[in-house]
Amino acid sequence: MVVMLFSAMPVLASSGEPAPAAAVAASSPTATAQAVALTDEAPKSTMPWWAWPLILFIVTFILGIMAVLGGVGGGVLYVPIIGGFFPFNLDFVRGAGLMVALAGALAAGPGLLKRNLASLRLALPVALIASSSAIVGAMIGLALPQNVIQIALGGTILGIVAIMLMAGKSDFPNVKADKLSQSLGIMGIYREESIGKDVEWNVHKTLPGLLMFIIIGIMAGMFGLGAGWANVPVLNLMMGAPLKVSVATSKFLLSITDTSAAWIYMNNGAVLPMMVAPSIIGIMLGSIVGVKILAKAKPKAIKYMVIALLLFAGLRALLKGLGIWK
Amino acid sequence: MSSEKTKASEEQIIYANILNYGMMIGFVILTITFLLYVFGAFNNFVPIDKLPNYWKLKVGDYLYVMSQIEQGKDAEAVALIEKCKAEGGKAEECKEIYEKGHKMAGWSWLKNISKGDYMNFVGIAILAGLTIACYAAIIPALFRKKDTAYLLIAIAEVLVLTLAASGILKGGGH
Repeated sequence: MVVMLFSAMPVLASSGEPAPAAAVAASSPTATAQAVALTDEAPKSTMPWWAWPLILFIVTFILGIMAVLGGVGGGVLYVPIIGGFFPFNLDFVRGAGLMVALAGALAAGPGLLKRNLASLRLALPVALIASSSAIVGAMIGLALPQNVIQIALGGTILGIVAIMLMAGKSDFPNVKADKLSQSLGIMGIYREESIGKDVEWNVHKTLPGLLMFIIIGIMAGMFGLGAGWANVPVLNLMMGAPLKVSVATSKFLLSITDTSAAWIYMNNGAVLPMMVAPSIIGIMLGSIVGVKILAKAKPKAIKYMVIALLLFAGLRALLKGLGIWK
Repeated sequence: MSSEKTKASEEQIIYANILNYGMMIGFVILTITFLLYVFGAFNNFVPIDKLPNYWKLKVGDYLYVMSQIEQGKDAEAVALIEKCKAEGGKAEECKEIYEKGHKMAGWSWLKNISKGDYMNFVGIAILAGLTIACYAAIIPALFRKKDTAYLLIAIAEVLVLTLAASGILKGGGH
C-alpha cells in the first residue's frame, strides 16, 4: 500500500496542467519562447500549493512511524522517497533530509546523554572527523549534476539495504582498549537494565574506525541521509563499543555531523521552509506514535517492510538517474 | 538504578541541558513561524502560490529567480535559465544567473526577516546552531579538568562548525 502511494506521486505531480514557466511567461512576451522549454523539466502540479506540504506532512508522519519500528533514521527514508516521488528538486530534498535527521538527533540527544548511553568521549573525536568530512560531502553534492547524484544515491541506498540484511551485531563486544583509545580515555560504564548490571566498555581499532568516519561524513553531506546506518556498524562491529552505546552515540553523533552539512545547504539556499517545517513536524510526531506502537508491533516484519521500501526507493533513484524511469 | 560510576560526566550533562532547552525553543519557534507563514499572517518574499513553480529548479537557478522576483521579473529569469541551458551557458548574460543568485545565498535571509517565508529561518538557524553553543559551553569544564586533548577537539569542532555556518564555503555552480 505504501509503495502504491509513492508510485502514484509522479502522476500527481505532473498530470496535465500547464507548465509553470509557460504560465508565468504568458504575462511576459519576451520570455515566452524560452520559458516554455521548462515544461519538459518542471511539470506543474495540478494541486494547489498547500496540498504538497500537507502530503509531505502525512508521508513524513508515516515515515516517522516506520523509522522507529524499522530501527533506521528518518533521513535515510526521507531522501530517496521524497526525492523519488515528490516534485521538489533533489537539492532541496537533501537540505530538508539533513534537517529532518538533525531534528531527530537533537530531540533524542539530551535523554541519551543524561542516561550515559551516548558517550561524549566516544562521540567528540568521531564527530570532528565526520563533521569536517560532511562539509566536503555537502559541497561535492551541491556541485555534481543531478543525474550523477541520483545514480550515486540509488547505489548508496541499495548498499544500505545490503548492510541492513547482512550486518551482524554484537551486544557486548569484549575488546581490549588500544593505545589511542586509552590515551583519549574513550571508555565508560553504563547501566544495562535488561540484565541488571553495570557494563564497562572499551574500544579498539580506534584509528581505522576514526578514518572510516571520513567516508561516512562525506556520504552524509553529499546525500543528506544522516548516517546511522553506517555509524552503528563501525562503532559496534569495528571499534567494539556495546550495541546500545553504539546506537545511542550514533544518534547523538548525527546532531553534530548533520549540523555542519546542514549549514552548507542552508548557506547555499538549499533549505526551503515549506519543505523543512512540515517534514520535521511530521517525522517527530510519527516517531512519537512509532514509539507507542513499538511495544505491540512485530519489529522483524516491519524491518523487512522498511528494507523493501528502501529497495524500491533506491532502484527508483538509480533508474531516475540513468534516465530509465523518469 | 544508576550508581555514581554510571553517571554521565559534568560536561555531558551541561551539553545535554543546553541541547534540551535549545531544541525545544527551536521547534516551538519553527512551528509558530511556519503556521504564520502558511496562514498568511505576513507578506511573503515569494508569493506562496508561485512557490510550486520554482521548487523543481536546481538551487542555483532557484536563487536567481528569487533575486528577480521582487521586481516581477521571475518569468524572464526562468527564460534566461532555459536559454543558458540550451546554449551551454556561454553567453555573457548567463553569468548573471550565478552572480545575482549568489547574492541571495548565505545569511542574506536576515535582510528579509520580516517576510513570512524568511521568518522560518530563525527556528531553522537555532536548530542548526545549537551544537555550536553546546560545544562552546563545555569548553570551560574541559579546561578546568585540564583535559587538553578534548579541549582541543572541542575548540576545533567549534571552529569547523562556525566555518560551515559562516557562509564562506560555497558549493554548487552551474
